[in-house]
Amino acid sequence: MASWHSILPALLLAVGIPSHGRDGHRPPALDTAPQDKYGDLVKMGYAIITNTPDKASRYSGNRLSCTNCHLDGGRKAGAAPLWAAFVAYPAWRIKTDRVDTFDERVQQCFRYSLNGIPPAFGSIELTAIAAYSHFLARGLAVGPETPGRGFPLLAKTGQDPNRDRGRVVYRQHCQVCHGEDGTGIPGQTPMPPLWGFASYNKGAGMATVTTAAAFIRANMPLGKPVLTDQEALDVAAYINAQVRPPDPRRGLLSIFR
Amino acid sequence: MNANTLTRHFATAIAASRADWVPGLLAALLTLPQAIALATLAGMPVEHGLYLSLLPALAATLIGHSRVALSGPNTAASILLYASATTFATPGSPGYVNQVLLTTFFAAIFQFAFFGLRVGKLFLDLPTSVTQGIIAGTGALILSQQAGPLLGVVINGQGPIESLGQALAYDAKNFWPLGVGAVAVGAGLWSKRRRLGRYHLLIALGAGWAAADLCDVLFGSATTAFERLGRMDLSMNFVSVPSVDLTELVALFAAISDGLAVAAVGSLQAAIMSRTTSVMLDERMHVSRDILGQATMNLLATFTSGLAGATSFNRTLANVEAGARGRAAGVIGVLALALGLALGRDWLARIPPAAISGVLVLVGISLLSSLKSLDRKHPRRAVEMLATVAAAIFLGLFYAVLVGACLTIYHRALDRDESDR
Repeated sequence: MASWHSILPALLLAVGIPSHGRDGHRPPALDTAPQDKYGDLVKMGYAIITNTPDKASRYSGNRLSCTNCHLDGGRKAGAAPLWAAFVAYPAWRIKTDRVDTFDERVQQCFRYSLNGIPPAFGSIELTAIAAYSHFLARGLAVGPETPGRGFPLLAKTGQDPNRDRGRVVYRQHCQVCHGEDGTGIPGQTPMPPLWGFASYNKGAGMATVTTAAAFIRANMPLGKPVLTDQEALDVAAYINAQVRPPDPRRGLLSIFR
Repeated sequence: MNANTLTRHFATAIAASRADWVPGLLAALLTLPQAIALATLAGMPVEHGLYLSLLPALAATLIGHSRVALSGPNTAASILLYASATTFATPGSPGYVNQVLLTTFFAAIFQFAFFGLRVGKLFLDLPTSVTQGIIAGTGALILSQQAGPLLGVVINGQGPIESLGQALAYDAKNFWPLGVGAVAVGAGLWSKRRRLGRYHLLIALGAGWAAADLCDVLFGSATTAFERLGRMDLSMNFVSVPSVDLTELVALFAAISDGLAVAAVGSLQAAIMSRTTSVMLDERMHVSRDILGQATMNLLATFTSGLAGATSFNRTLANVEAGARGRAAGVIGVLALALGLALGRDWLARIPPAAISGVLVLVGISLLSSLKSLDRKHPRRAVEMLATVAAAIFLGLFYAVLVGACLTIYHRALDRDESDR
């Protein structure tokens, strides 16, 4: 008779759960990084991801760190994990209408989400982020369809997002960490600003209501996501209706386009 | 010396330094991107390039004999440091920084030895034809190096031909920086022919910068995709003391041997520039004292979070082109850089390298004009000059000196042979 060990993978497949975890990949712990030059870069990359304004101050343009969207230092599935992104590039993007490399994708994060200056190719910041992402992706097959990539899509709710309802949701669930005026809370463990000139600009992915809602639904409030799909859409609409830096893709002449 | 003479000397010094304000400001603006780029090239945190451009560079300006020479971050020194230290540690890591500082320390020690041995006297006999060839060759090199930044391309090539080839072959060229460079060059040439001639390089930089910002406002910064320098953070706690790990003697020996290489290259750069500026400004040269300036700079760089540097060809020649005639330009340059970093770092972060490239194109064009001094009456001198230019373009400046010197010795032997007959 077959032991339970041998039929477990078949059972898991039958219910649609991969044997190596629901989200497809378990990134290695940082302290298992090799003690060599590659390991040094991996640690440097982790430091940049978790404290971007300080560790990439040359290029950062606001108070956000990469880990504010790529939660848990880019490890968490369903919060745009870096391991899934690393194996998904080069890839065509509708935003740029061309095939972008991973380095170019990181540059875009600096330009839009961090409202800063894209690090130059070959810069230590870009190399360290790539090395760290590569380390997290160890053991993962290359390809765009990695489970856990990006944010889980929301089902259609049948209702438009409503800012007024969103304001109520914000006060109830978000205000305690992000502040009444949405500008976050600075300090040892800073809470990121959600709007204002220290937050992401209008060109960032998070400035799209559906993307922000998908992130919020899957991950917010941090550690205990309790919002419904409609509440996530409403609060995302409220947050994205606030003042923030302009979209760098648009200039004064864009009105003629 | 009576009070009147003192007052007259003081008034002369003030008048001279007034002429050095513009080149001083330009030196600060040119140093900033080069310090960042060359520290990166050496695998060091960018702040080290800036620290080298402050106190150590000031020491070289004050101690060296050549009044217009600008020292600090240097391509050849950075390449040598990278090749040396990368064997032992990851670029940018604390171990790597320590290895570079150790190499810088030994470079300084060797340069003090060169000064003691009066090695600089070797360069007294470098003929004018070769020096003019080096000036024109440097112009060609500077021009070719701007192809990358002006087309928004990262160049990995070492030589000018390779750099140009890479830039032109790259598929995803960005032509916006080329436009900014063209505006800078146009503004520079326009103002040079008018009463604003003294300010033409500053005007070029300002026009290029303004053009880039205007394009960003009109079309969006993601559309134009101009590179910008980025923000620099300097702390007051910049003291550094390299440590020696006695369990890794191989690293110590490498620091000593590569320190010798850095010292030799740095001294050669100082000597070439000393000879070149002495011809351009019709001044006496004193290479040994210039080497002493380099030694002091590298010693200070070791203990003030810098890295090994040398006399910069393009900054020195841009300094001369901007009208510098005294040490004040170098001093003002350092002070302006320090002040700018302290008060205007967010503002300086927005300098587009394309505008800097426009300024360097103007310097390159000006240096190339030394080809006009080709001695048509003496074919051998003309051959020496052209061979030096060709060697600079195809082999690099060090080989250019070698080719020029060998050719001169050969021609002198031929001259003697013919006179003996």
